Amino acid sequence: MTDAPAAATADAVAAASTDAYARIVAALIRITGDWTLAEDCAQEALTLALQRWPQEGVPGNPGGWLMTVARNRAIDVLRRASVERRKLAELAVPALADPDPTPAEEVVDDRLRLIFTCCHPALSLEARVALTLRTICGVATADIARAFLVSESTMTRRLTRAKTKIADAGIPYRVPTGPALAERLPGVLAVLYLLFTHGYNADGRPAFADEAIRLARLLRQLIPGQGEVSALLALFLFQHSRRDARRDRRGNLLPLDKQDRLRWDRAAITEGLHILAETPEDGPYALQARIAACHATAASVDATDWPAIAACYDKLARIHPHRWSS
Amino acid sequence: MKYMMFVCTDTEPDTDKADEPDIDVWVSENDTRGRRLEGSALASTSAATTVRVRNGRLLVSDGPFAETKEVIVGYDLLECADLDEAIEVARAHPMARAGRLELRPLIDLND
Repeated sequence: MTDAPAAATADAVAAASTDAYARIVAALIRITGDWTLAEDCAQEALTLALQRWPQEGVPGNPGGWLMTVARNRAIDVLRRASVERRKLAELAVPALADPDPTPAEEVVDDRLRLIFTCCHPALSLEARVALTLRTICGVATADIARAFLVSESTMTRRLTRAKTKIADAGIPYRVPTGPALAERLPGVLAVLYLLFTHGYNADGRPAFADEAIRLARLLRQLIPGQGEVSALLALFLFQHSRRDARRDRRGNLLPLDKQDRLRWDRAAITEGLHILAETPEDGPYALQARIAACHATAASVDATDWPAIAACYDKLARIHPHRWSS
Repeated sequence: MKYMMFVCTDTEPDTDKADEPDIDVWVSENDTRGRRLEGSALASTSAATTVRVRNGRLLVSDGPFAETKEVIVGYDLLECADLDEAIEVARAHPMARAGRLELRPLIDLND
C-alpha cells in the first residue's frame, strides 16, 4: 500500500465522519438513551473505517456503512450488558442490508433532537457549549479543553456532569413544538454564537468557527423559515470571510481599516448576502448580520454605509440584546 | 418522573402584575390532570426546628439550618413525564413571579 491511497482513504473517512457522526450519535442516543455508548460506538465505527477502507475500498455509501457498524457495536455492548429485549429489538429493525439509512425522516429529527437537548436551558451555558462540540460535532474532549483553557480532566468532568444531569433531571430528548420552539430557539442560537466566538486555538484563531457554521447550516435546513437562524448563518459567514485578513505576518490583530480587503472571502460574503435577504424582520442576529454586511460590502472604511450601521445599532439597543445571551 | 417543587421567596420578585395566576386555579388544574400529587404551604421559619446528632448527642436548635433571605415557604410534589412538563407546571404557579421555584427530581431507590 502506498501513501496516496492511505491519504485518500483518510480523506474519505474524514468526509464521511463529518456528515455521519451526528446522525449516528443522535440515532443511538434515541434508541439506547446512553450518551457515552453512542459516542463510543460512533468513534469505533470511524476507527474501523480507517483500518478496513484502505484494503477493502471505500464503500458506496460510507455513511450507511458507519451507521451499520456503530449500530452493531451498540447491539454487542448492550447484549453483553444484557439489557431488556425491547431496546435490542429496536436496534435490530433497520437491518444490516439497509443500503441507505439517511433519507429516513426519523434520522433527520434525531439530529435536531440532539441539538435541542444539548442546548437545554437547564444545563449551564458552558456545559451546553461543551456538550454540543463533543456530541454533535465529535470534537475530542482534549481539543475542547484546550480551546476553552481548562484541563482535559476538568472538561471531562463538565461533560460527565452534563450527561448525568440530562438523565437525572429528566431532560427530554425532543424537539420542542409550537410556542415552545420559539422560546427555546434563541438559547440554541446563543450556544452556536458562543461556539463561534469563544474558543480559540493556540495561534489565537477561532477554534470552532467551521463547526458553528456547519451547525447553523444544518439548523437552517432542518427547521426552515426561521429568520434568526438564517441571520446567524449570514453573520458567521461575514465574520468568517475576514479570517485570512485579520492578522499581520507576525500574528497581530489588524483592525478593519488596516485589513487587506482583497483577502476577504468573496464567496462567503456573497452567500451571506443571499441568505440574509431571506429575513426581512429585525431580530437581534439579523441586525448584527446587517451591520456585518455593511462592512463586508464596503470598498474601504470611508466608503462604509455608517448611517445604516448606526440605525442597526439603535434598533439593537432597543431590543435588549442581553436577554438572548443569558 | 416525580419532582419535588420547592416554593421559595426571592429578593427580586417580578414587578409586572399583568395576568397574575391564581393559586387555587393552579392547584385544581394540576390535581385534576394528575400532575400534582400533594403539596402544602409551610409555617414561617420562626416555627422551624433543626435537629442534628453529633457524636451520639442530640442537638435541637431554633430556626432553619441557615439564615437566608430566600426561604422555602411551601412545596408541591409533581408527577410529570419529563423536565419540560415540570417547567410548564412551575411557570404557571404564582410564585414563579413573586418568588422562585426549584425543581428537584426524586430518586427512585427501587430502580
